[in-house]
Amino acid sequence: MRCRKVEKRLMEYVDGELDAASRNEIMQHLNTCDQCKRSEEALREAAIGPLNTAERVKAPESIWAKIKGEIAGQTARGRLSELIESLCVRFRIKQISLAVVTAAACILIAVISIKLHTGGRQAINTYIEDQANFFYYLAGENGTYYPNMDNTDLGTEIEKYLL
Amino acid sequence: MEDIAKDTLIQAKEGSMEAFEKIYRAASDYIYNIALRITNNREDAEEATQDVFLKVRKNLIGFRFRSSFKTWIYRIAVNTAINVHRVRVKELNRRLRYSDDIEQETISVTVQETMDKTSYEWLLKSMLNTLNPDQRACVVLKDMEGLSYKEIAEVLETNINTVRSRLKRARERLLAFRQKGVIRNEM
Repeated sequence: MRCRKVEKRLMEYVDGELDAASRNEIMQHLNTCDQCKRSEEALREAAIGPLNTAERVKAPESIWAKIKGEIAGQTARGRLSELIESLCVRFRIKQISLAVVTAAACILIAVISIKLHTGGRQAINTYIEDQANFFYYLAGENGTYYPNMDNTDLGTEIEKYLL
Repeated sequence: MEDIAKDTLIQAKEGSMEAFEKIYRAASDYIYNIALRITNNREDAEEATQDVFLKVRKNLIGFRFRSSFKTWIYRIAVNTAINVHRVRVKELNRRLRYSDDIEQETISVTVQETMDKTSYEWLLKSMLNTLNPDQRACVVLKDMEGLSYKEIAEVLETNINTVRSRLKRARERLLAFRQKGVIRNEM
């Protein structure tokens, strides 16, 4: 067998991928050809050897802990999904309808809260305005307040009793 | 990797955590090492290994025993490791656009190299750095896991000639790398 042919099949020979007949032919050539023998040695020692003899590293135990944690989380999320699904089945509504109804309810609650909030502030503003007008009235048209000291009537009975 | 009993696989398919742990204990070291040599990085290898087993748990229900379990899990491992590696490379390229990060990245690589330099690991890491992820997958499956060309082709879902050609190019690169190292030492 010629060197060129051996060179083409040397990798398969070293990897044990040749049939018995081809393997024997190459082996016989390697026994007689120093150059091809050196190529075979270089392939085995330099390119293949380091990986062949590499130490197998043990997987860190933290990996298993993280996997267990992730599975536990997935189980909890899965139970919630199952609950929602069973509610939809029970009430015969599609999941998408449930989502729409929930979103609408949230929007309604938000609008009502905003309305109440602004409505309250308006009421306060109105009250302040009313009180300001009353004081203006008491003070007279020019804005100055003239209390009527002769009139000591306090109005109600309870006011008369307490004051 | 040793074969896992079919009963264990069936129990794990049905959701048994105990059976799943047995699978993990039998396969984790092999999967971790494949991931480590493809990503060439311990942090990425841990992430990839975790992802592999979560995918196994999720997809075991669909495993029909048409291929061997070993082929199936190795396929998941190789694909996951290659994806994790690609994300890392993309992230590194993005960060290296900023000059401050270049300095930091250089420092962290140097520290890691110093730690590994004293060991055989450094040689292995440097050799694997000369290969692209597809070539790394082939040499790891052949030279570390001892798979045949046909088995590698099944794992990678490619044809046997592609496997041959990737291995040939990978070994040429590794030889050239080692020869450079020899010349440097002699000088």
